[in-house]
Amino acid sequence: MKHRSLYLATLILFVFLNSIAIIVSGEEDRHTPGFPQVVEGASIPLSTPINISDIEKAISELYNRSLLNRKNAEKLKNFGNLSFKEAVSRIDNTDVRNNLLNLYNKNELTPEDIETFLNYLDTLKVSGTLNPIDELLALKALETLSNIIQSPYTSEIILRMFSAIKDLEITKKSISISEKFTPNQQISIEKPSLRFPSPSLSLIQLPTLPRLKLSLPNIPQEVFISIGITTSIAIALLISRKYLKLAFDRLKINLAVKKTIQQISDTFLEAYWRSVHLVSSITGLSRNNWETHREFLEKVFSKLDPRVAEVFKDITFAYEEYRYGFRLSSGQKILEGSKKLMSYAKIYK
Amino acid sequence: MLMIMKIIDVIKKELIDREVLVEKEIELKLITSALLSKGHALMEGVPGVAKTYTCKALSKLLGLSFKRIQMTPDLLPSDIIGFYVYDQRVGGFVLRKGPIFTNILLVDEINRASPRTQSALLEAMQERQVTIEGELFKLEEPFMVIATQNPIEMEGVFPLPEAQLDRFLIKISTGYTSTQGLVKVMKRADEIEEAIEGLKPVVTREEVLEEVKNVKNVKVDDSIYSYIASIVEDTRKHTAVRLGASPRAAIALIKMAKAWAYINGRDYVIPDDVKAVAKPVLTHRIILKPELEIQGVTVDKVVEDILTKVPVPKP
Repeated sequence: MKHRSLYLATLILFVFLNSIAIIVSGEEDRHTPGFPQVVEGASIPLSTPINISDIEKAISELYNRSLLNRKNAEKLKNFGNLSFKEAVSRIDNTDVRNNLLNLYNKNELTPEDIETFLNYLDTLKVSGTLNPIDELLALKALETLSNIIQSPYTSEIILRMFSAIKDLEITKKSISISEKFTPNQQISIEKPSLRFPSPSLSLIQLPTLPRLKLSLPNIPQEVFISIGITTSIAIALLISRKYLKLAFDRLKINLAVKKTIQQISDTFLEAYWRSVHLVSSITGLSRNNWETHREFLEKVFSKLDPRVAEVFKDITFAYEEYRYGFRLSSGQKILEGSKKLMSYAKIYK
Repeated sequence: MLMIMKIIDVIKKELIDREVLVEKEIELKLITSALLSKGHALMEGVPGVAKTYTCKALSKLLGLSFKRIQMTPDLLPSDIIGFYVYDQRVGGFVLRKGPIFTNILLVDEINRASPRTQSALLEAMQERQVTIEGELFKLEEPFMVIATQNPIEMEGVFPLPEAQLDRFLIKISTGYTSTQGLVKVMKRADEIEEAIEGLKPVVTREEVLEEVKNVKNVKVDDSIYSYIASIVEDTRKHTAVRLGASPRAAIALIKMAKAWAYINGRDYVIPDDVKAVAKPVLTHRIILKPELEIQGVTVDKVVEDILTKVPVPKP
């Protein structure tokens, strides 16, 4: 009954461990909010660095696909080489223009100013008062300022330019679609994203922003194999524990039988001490050096099979007579008892 | 050997099995061992734990004479050893022997006597003779003093000095009986005195003396001497001890071990005999450091500690 419940418990443990392993491997995101997470690809994963010429290419592509009218195309003409003043002069939004000029006239321009202006642009964009052309031009003007002070925001400004181009494309597309379809027809219009547009321009591969992979590292298959092997070994050991213990005990007894006691020249005394060693191996109780032979006998007596215990008792008393009573005849008793003990120990333990 | 086995067997049958003395087997064996070792015993215990009965019963069984002295501060040495008194009938001084002229003398509350009286008694114990008015009198063998003292009383007593305590071969601490034992005592309360009075000697005084001689012939291996020496030396090295056991303690230990082996039917000493008598022999000879005594360290614990450290002879 005891063993059955043991096996059942082992089986449950095995299933539980494997379930955990499967769940863990199946989960993509095991991150608990508020706890540190592993973020893969925190750096910008651009295979090729983007620059202002890419923006120019994107603008010309828009123009070729008739998503940019002539007037706007003129505004964005020679976009890459526009100076600050040229870019500002082409902006229709007066507030943006004034703010840029204020920024330009500021004595000491700092990266924080650039950041503040970017946030200002975001605000305008959300409120719908900033069109993508003005945004692109404002960003170009800001890029020239950013380059002058070597601000770390230059790359972000260029990314925002891409975002603005994307907005421009989507706006134009949706207008053309709404012109083609009747009002009754249902259509899902993709809402423009503020910062991270999905790449849909055929020629220009828009850079993908780093994806936060919120999961633990993948658990290699080898780990599952090792868990499986370990669990199997553990189960096998549990099942065969009794037999293993028996085998181990037998091995210990055999070793004790074969072991010779060092530094004892007297055969009879050696036989006694070998018996002590054997009994220690069987019971697992070692003899302390302050323990007398009788105290050791008392300690191990109840732990031994009655037949083995009786034999060891006889050996102990024979040793006592031989060792302290100077009775040589008792020496033979020790030897005989010791032999009997060896054979009994193997059978009865 | 047969005689001592008979004595032990009778002690067991007559006193233990018949419940004349309850839970006093160890005490009886220790007193017998001390008697066979020609030593004296100090019994420490509160009043009413059958100290007198134990001594009386043993002396009856062994066919020995038994006397008792109740010590008081005004007791004089002559009250113990005796004195010459003028006898008008004979027209001269005649000797009035004191109670010391006996085989087993129970000295009740020895620490109540004055140091002068204690000294006279202890001298007689050591020399086994007394001098009265310049005349020397040998005490009859076997001679054994069993002194008792109450460990609780501190006022109006004269505690024995260490040097005098050392003269007692053993100290037996007699405690209260268990609840079951007490029930047995109560059931037989009316019969105990009668039972003790009715005890018949199982051996003669001469046979006891023969056994005393036999104990001397008990074999002791050299390794046992070394073992005892190690134990005694360890009492001096122990961190809790201020004064360790003396060489006299080592001699007492070997004497008692031999007697203990003998009453257990062996003519050789084994380490177990030494361990069995170590506490009664050593506890009154060791003085602890006061600071450790206050912390609850006892001499019994120190001896136990030593016995679990000193290696027994091997192989």
